[in-house]
Amino acid sequence: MSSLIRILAVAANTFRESARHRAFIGLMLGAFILILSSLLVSELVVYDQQRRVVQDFGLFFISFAGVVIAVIIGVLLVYKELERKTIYSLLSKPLHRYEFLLGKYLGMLLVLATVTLVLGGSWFLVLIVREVPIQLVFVKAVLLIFGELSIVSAVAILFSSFSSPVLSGIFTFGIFVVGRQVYFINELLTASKGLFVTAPQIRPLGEAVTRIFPDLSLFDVAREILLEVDVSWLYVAHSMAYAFCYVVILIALATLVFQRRDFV
Amino acid sequence: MTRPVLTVDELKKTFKVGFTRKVVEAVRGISFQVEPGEIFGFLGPNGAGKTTTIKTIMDLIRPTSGRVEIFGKPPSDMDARLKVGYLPEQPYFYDYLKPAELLDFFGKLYGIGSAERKRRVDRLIERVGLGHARDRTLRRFSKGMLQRAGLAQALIGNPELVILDEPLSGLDPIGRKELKDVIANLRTEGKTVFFSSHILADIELLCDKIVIIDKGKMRFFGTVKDFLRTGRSEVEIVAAGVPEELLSRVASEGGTVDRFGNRVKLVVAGGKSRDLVNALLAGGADLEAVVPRSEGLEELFVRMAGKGEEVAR
Repeated sequence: MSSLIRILAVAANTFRESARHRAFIGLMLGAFILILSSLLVSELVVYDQQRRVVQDFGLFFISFAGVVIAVIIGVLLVYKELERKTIYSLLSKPLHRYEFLLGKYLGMLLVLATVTLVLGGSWFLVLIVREVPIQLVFVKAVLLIFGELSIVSAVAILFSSFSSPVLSGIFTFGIFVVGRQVYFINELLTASKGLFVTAPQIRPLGEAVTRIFPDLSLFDVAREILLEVDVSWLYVAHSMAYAFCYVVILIALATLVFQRRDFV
Repeated sequence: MTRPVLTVDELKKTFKVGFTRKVVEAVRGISFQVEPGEIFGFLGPNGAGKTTTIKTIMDLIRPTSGRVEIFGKPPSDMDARLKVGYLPEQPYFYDYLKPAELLDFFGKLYGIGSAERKRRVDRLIERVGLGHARDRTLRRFSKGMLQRAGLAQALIGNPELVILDEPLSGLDPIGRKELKDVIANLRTEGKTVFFSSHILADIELLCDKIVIIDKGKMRFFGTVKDFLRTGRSEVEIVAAGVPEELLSRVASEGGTVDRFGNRVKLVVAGGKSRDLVNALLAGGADLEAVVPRSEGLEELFVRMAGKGEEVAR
């Protein structure tokens, strides 16, 4: 119980730190303007395509801004504690190192939940202005984006537990980009022709990528929305459970690294 | 026999630094014990290994070998940590917080209930003299004010052992006086205080026992009194009209002679002063002053550190 209180105290402080940070507020504002800009973009197309534009652009911007914010905050979260030496007074308290990392991660999830809520709300606003009826699948799409962000931020925390912010940012963004392609690499691996048939020597590489990297395409339902295909709650639950498992593994790895560190 | 509050036994810490992974020995086998209720000074020049030792005590750094125990438990033990308050060297805190918010956050980590937390936060802010800055965020604090906030956060858990890393550095004379008063008051509250410093006058006044380290090695462990006893006792004599042969004799016997026109200042070992005074009077010198001079902590420390001399425990 007291462990949970300590984790929640660190989480609340992490959320407070982000909420009071000008850069975070600036990023949120920028993302909000981007989503509103889909209204302007939709003016450039013919009337029956306007609905599709605000749907597509809105969803893309939520995902894009969310990933940018997740990477930036994620890589800076632990680094700033070390750089500003605030970690000395924190870890000298009755606080386990794993509680510190879990608290940091939970705080970050709170921040990302706020980001997703605010940007999702802005998107719905744009949809209402364009007279697009809000469907349940839109809510599911936003929820799935949050699931994806939870993995991206855990990757960022893992890298920032032993690497510099710039390298951590590059690695995390790289994993995001590859993670979005895992589905296609899998398709290629099972196809009877294509890259892995013409160049079988790189097949083990493809297989390794699909085994190690998270399949982030599970969280992208833009195509389903476009084709007006329903996304079931079971699919959402399955994807969120997948995210949860990945997060547990990533945070456990980060804790292992963190546990061995000397805070010189 | 009471159990030591803090035990450091044959502590060693090496770091691998740079591209070539060169091994640097920061701490080379330090051993000492801190008993309940003591004010314990941890002395050494910059780079001696003080902060590395303290970070090992606080479990921020893991030792290469040796043992650290707080209240008979390893530093990672939560029960032990509940009884310890720590002020890091040059403390930095979350600068977006106000002092009460910082203390409230740290208070939660000690599992202190809401009402008690509020009471302690209010009391500590007044105690360290930050009452006037309650509504300011820490980013607007001066270095001295940050040090005070640091002391308050070290005390929020009402610890039995308070570990302070260079608490007096960077403070103005008034701040130093106030902080020294706080440290002295902690003793009257029955707390044990372990603090590091390279400012020897503070240690001489406040501490019961000291450990002196230099280049990672322990040079002394014991009471301040015992340490001073190992120092030299000298006598300074100022006189005029001293015969030349007497001056040559003082110089040849290891004393120092400084000339100021007709007057001279002679410094000789304590045991030789009586004979010299008699000789000066017999030689017709005009004696102006005879001042016994004990080597202070500072002189003794500088002499010892310079020679790499080790004083017996």
